[in-house]
Amino acid sequence: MGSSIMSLATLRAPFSIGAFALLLTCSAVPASLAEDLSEADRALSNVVVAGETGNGAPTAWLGETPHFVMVGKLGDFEFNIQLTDMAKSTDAKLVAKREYVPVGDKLTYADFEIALDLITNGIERSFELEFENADFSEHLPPAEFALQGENFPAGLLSNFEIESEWEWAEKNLIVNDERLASAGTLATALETGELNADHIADNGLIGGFVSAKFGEDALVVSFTAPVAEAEIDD
Amino acid sequence: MTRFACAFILVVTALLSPLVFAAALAADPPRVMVTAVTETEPVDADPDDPAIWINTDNPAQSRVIGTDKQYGLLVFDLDGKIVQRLPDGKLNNVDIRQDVDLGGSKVTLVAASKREDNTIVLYTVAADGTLQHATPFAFPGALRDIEDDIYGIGLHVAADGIPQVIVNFKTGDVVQWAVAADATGQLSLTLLREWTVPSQPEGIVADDELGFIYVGEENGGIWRFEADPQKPAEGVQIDLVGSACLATDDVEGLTIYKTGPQTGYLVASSQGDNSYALYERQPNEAGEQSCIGSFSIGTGATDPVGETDGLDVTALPLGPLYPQGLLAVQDDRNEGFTRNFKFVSWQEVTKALNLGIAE
Repeated sequence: MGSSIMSLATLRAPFSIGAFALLLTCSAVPASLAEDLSEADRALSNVVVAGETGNGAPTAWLGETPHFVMVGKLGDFEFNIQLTDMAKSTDAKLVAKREYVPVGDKLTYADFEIALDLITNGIERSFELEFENADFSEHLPPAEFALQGENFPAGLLSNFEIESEWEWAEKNLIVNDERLASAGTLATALETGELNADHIADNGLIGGFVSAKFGEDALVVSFTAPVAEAEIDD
Repeated sequence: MTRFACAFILVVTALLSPLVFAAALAADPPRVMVTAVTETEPVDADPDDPAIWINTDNPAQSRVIGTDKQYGLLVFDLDGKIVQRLPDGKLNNVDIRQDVDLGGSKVTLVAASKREDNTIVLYTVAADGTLQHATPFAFPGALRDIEDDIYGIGLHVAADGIPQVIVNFKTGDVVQWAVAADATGQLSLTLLREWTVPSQPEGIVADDELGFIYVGEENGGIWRFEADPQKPAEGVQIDLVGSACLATDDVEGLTIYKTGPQTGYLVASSQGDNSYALYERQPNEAGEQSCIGSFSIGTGATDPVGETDGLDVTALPLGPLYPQGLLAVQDDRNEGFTRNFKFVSWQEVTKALNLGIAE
């Protein structure tokens, strides 16, 4: 199998090279365990299509209505997810999470995650997009961050990691793919919410547009997601 | 992934670790697939680690105690139904020892690592499998401030019969404590020893009979230490991430399947490739414990197990469904975007890996 998916066998294989981590996916299970997928099965698994797919790839943020649009390619996987209005999406759930880190007597807004659970072709799939900065609250929207590999970078820089996971029980197939963007931009467009008693915002919305490169592959994503959770990572 | 990229990874790995490269040249241990007998109810938030309580009077009524990292502990019967909930906080890992001598009584002791305050919390188990808080309930995980969370936990009963609890922290610190009780049943912990592993550990298991403590270093491999706190904590690395049996990180749970007083298998969960590796329990003369095979849990009566985490095993028969014992594992991708624990009959592992244990 040349694909990065196989029966109970797709592997996360992060290998750090210098300060920049390339997160790669590699099949490493004896072929005797691999349940070869037909071309049709391969397409069902690897080509993720949802929503109004005639819209094409976005070139900018699509607005305040909660949505998730992701178009592009990552390794063996092709994405054309066009959930332009989450209120109309019965097979998908979109939430965001903020994470704060105590620095001295201050809480820095160091991380946010956009998580999508989606059923397509009868397969339950999960996507998690995670962005890091030394303190996003110092760069309120609209702001544009250059994507790079360092964790929690200061200034107008961000780290962006995407994790794609699904399990196709009928085919004994498990996919777990994590990748770190090597270049691109994050344009934040929306940050709403009120601080709770712990001085963190576990409500409101996060919106933005990402154009990211992963080596030779590329993705564009527009999102506006309701924040369902916030935590202090101490 | 292209073949070029895979080849590139292998080359880099080989350059980084001659041991891994040597292992790659050796014949790979077999890898097989088994299925689960059943699964638990979905766990509300974030299950991690199970521990098996044996009902010696009625083995089929045994229990599996599981952590939920956002909630506390959940206790399941062997049908997977939740029979007790203990909302005790962010409990990460759990372990159990039955019939421990404490304060002149035989006690079943359960220990869990609590992340929000870096404590060890202790429970006792009643004859019907019901957990109750020990007194006191919580103890500091270390005598000094450690920068990051408490993480893994294991119990050990030394040759002198004194129970011990061993915890590790995300920093790599490992702390070994002795547990004692006074005549009223009040528990106390006494520090025995501290040491470190190079990077973030989690899984811990003690081999009571052979006197070893195993620590899983998530991105590194599996370490073996002498359990005797009087001995230096000089670790022996019995396998490395990148080997045939631990193809990629993380090393997660560790447990021991005992086929006899000194025989059996060390079992490790390998999260990155959704599998479980078996090592010889008894080191050879060179101190090595070879990997004899690994297995995944595929589709059967349940969905497959993906991105697995903690695990526990017993060799004791637990009724007709588990004649050679039960393996309980965490499943991070359960149907309906949930997580739970899966229960596997060890007999199926025996058959699939041709382990030669009499049926």
